[in-house]
Order: sequence, then C-alpha cells, then structure tokens
Amino acid sequence: MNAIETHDLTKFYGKSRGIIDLDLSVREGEIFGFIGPNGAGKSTTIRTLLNFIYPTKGGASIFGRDCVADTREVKKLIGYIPAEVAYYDDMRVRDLLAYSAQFYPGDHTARARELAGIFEVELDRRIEALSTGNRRKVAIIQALQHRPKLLILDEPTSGLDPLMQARFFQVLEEENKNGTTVFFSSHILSEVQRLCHRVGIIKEGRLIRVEEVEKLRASRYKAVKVELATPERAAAFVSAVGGAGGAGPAGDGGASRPGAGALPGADNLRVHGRTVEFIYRGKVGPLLGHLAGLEPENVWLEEPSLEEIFMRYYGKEGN
Amino acid sequence: MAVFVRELRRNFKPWLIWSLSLGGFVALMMAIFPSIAAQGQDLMELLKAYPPAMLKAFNLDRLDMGDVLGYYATEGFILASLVSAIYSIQLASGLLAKEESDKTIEFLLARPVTRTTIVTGKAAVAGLYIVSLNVVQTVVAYISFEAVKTGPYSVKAFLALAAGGLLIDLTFAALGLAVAVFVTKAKALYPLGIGLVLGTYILSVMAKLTSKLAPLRWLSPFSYADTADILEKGAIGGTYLALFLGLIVALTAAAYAVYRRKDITV
Repeated sequence: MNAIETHDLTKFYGKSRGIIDLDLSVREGEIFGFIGPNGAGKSTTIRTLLNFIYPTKGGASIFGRDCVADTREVKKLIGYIPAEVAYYDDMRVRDLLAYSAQFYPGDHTARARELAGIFEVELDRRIEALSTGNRRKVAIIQALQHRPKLLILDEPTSGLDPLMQARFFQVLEEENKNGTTVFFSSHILSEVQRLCHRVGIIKEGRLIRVEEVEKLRASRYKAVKVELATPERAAAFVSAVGGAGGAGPAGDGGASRPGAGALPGADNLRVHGRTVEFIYRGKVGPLLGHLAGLEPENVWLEEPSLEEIFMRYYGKEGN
Repeated sequence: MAVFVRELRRNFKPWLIWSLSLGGFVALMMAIFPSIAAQGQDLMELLKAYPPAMLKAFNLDRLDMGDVLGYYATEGFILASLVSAIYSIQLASGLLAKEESDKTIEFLLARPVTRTTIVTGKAAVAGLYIVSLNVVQTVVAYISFEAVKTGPYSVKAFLALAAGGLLIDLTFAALGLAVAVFVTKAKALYPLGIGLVLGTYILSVMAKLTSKLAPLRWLSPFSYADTADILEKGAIGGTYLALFLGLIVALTAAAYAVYRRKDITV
C-alpha cells in the first residue's frame, strides 16, 4: 500500500490553474521530495491531500483511505507543517501543543518535551512573542509529537537557522528509520538532495518527472568545467558543441572525433571568459577524449547538483 | 469537544463584560422608573404633543409608561435587544470567521476533526453565551421589577417578551454564522454585523409608520417580537414564532452546508 496515491488529481480555482492530472504515488517508508518553483502547485497538492480544498477532478488517498470521504481518519495518521505558520496568539507554546494533542488519542507531553529540548523551544513563551524561526520550531513539534505515520511538510525549513535545520533533518531521518513516511515539498533542491529517496518535479501544475535521487546523482551526469587557453577557443568550443547540445546521451561508438565539433551529451553550456561550464550526460571516455583534443589548461569533473540537472527540465520545457 | 472547550474559555471574558454592562444598564433603566411613574399624568400630556406617527413608531400609542412592564418594553428592552443582538451576531460570525481571518484554520483542519464538528463546537458556544446573556438580562429585569413596581404586572407577558429577545438574538447568531461562511475577514464583519442589526431595526420602525411600509416587517426579526404585540397578547404570535424558528434553522443549516463544501485557503 502506498502512503500517498493520487489519480488525475486536478484543481482549478475558478479558471486559474492549480494542478492538472497529477498522478503521484509515494511509497510507505520513503522520504519523497516534491520539487518545483513557487506557484507550480505544490501547496495546492498538499491542501487537496488535507482536504482544505476540494479537487475539481480526480482523487487522492492516504494509506488507502480517501482524502475527502475519510478525511478525519486520514488526519489521524498525518503530521503537517504548513508553509506559513499561523497560531493562536492568545496561547503559550505549551497551550498550543496541548491543544493539538487533544485531538489525537494518547498522551504526548513527554514527546513534546523531548522535541522542545532538541529544538530549544521555551514552552512558556507566548506564541505572539515568537520569532519566525521559533514559530517554525513549534510547527515542527506539533507535527511530530503525536507520532504520525506520514509527515507532510510544505517548505518546512524557511526561517530555520542552519544548526536547527541540521537538527530537523536528523530528527526526520530518525523518524523515517522508525517507519514514518515523509512528503517534503520544497523549491530548494539541495536540501531535498540530502534527505530524499525519490523526488517528483512539478511544473505549471503538472508532475513532469519522478526520479530516484541516487539514480539521478549517480547517473552519468557530470558537471564539467574546462579552462582553455584563450576566450576565442572557449567561444569556438561552445559554438561547435552548442549546435548539437542536448541531443541526448553520447553514443558508445566514438562518433565524436577529438577536438572537432560536436560533443553529444553536453548541455547547458555557459562561458565565462576562458572557462566553459556544462552538464555532460554519457560515458566519460568520449568526454575525456574530446577534452584532450582541446588542450585545456585545467579541467574539473564533478557530481552535478540536482539543481543543475533540473535546469534541463525547467530550462527546456519553459522555452 | 476540544474546539468547544477552547472557544468557551476564549469567549468567557467578553461575555462577562457584555453581561455586566447589559445587566447594569437594565438595572439603571428600571431605577429611574419610580420617578417616571410619579409624573405619569404629566408625561402622558407631554407625549400627546409628539406627532402620532412617531408615537406609533415606538409603540408609545399602545404601551403605558406608567406600568412597569410597559415602561420596560418601551425603554430598556429595546436598547437591550439592540445591544444583545449586536453581541450575538458578532459572537457567532467571529467564532466561525476568526480562524480564517487569523489563518489558524489550517492548523485546525489538519487535526482529525470534521468541519461539521468544528461548526457544531462553535455554534454551541455561541448559543450557550447568548442564552446566558439573555438569562442575565431577564433575571436583572425581574429583580428590578419586584423592587420598583407600583402595581401588579403579567409575568407571562414578561417572559414572552424575554423569549422574544432571545429569539431575536438567536436569529442574528444564525445570520452571523451564515454570513461568516462567505465573509471571512474580521475587519469586514464588524461593520457588517452592526449594520445588519441597526438596519433591520430601522426597518421594523419604518414598518409601523404607514400601512404602505407595513410589509417591511417581514424583513426584520425586531418586528417578529414587537413589544406592543407581545404585551397585548401575552405571547409571541404563531406566524412570527414559526418565522423565528424557520430562520434560525435555515440559516444555521445553510452555514453548515456551505462550510462543509467550501475551499478553505488562507
């Protein structure tokens, strides 16, 4: 059984687009990154899962239960951190956590205290006096304290300092080891890259790709940086390669002659004076052969960030 | 239950302040009664100088200011009804809309609680405090009556009047719930609530001015519980009672139906 499953999930606000025909499945026990720029439909998806809004078409289920018909049962299993944290100003942190806990069976004060210790939250502070970062921490505690089976996080790290962010990720990993599924929406790829097993990319309301993070990174993508002797050489290299750029992975057959023209698999070329940066997809052999023919001054080969990989999707399909 | 308890606690202080003010006001109005009653005849002469339409508009043609109940019905009761109606519509609409206005509704909706339970919890708090406020008003009025009365009065008519006040309040509370489903900004709800109460009150006064305007009375809960009608009959008219109950049920049901189905975004 999947933790989250959506079929043709579509939401329009009047005529304006929310999400379109979203088919998403998040497996039980995984950390799933939901990536896209602002306005792509990440929050709309989450709000539909939580039944804040009703789908225009299609449906969604969480652990096999319908998100609309069984919304109450579904929410027993969920911990949710909203993108914007708004709490009752007349409460203290302790009151808010107690109020939240009242809705779930069992006693959660011990866990709340433990989490407050980890995130250095003072339980006696008034909510209205809390900074954005501290509110965010309270949001984390209220989402985790009742030990949900599924965590739905909508841009959960905004406002957290790096230390707290690290602790938060550590807690998420522990929860995940204990079987909690995590659905993590973000527009910051690097934070997802660290944590997630799989990522789904959403753009203009449509899910355009779902990929294993390991596969993405370990796939034959390389971030390449070459420093050539002169800017002219760099420009010549780019114009030669640029024509064939992004044609797909390089073939095995050594179709490219060293130093001469096309380099299949090279993409997203950027020139800065004498240096050229690009993403390369394919076997390393032909790449090295090609680079050797350029008589470069210096070469860097690195694992590309997801950001660079995804630039392809966004860059291309945007044009 | 959690929603009910939380709202009960949050709205207690305002209720206490409204109750003390309203109780104090009724007691004060009744404390003046002996001096009004003493001038009884002079006052009647004075009133004759006013245009008849105006006397009609405020029921002064049918109510006796020299009688403790008649005096209460013309003076204290009307103002108290306006005040408690404003309290009622503000309370009910605020209870429902504040979560959206303050954006706390996302927190609440993420808990395992249905929207029906949320509305029920909040409506129950509104009902409880509105009934309590009316009980305070009625008890204070009764005690004052006993202290200042110059002759016997009909307790049955007094209770019918009190029931009329309560029904007006509950109608405005139901209206408040129905309005708050559509208008979720607290800033817009305050003037809207006061406007609805004062507007319908003015309609009830206009309805008594000429027979041409009489149909306006169907639009105003204040007309359903007309003080002169109630004191003459000793009860609320059957049609009006049915209208009260029908409106309360219909408006509340509409609030539930829309709230359950609407998209809630903050």
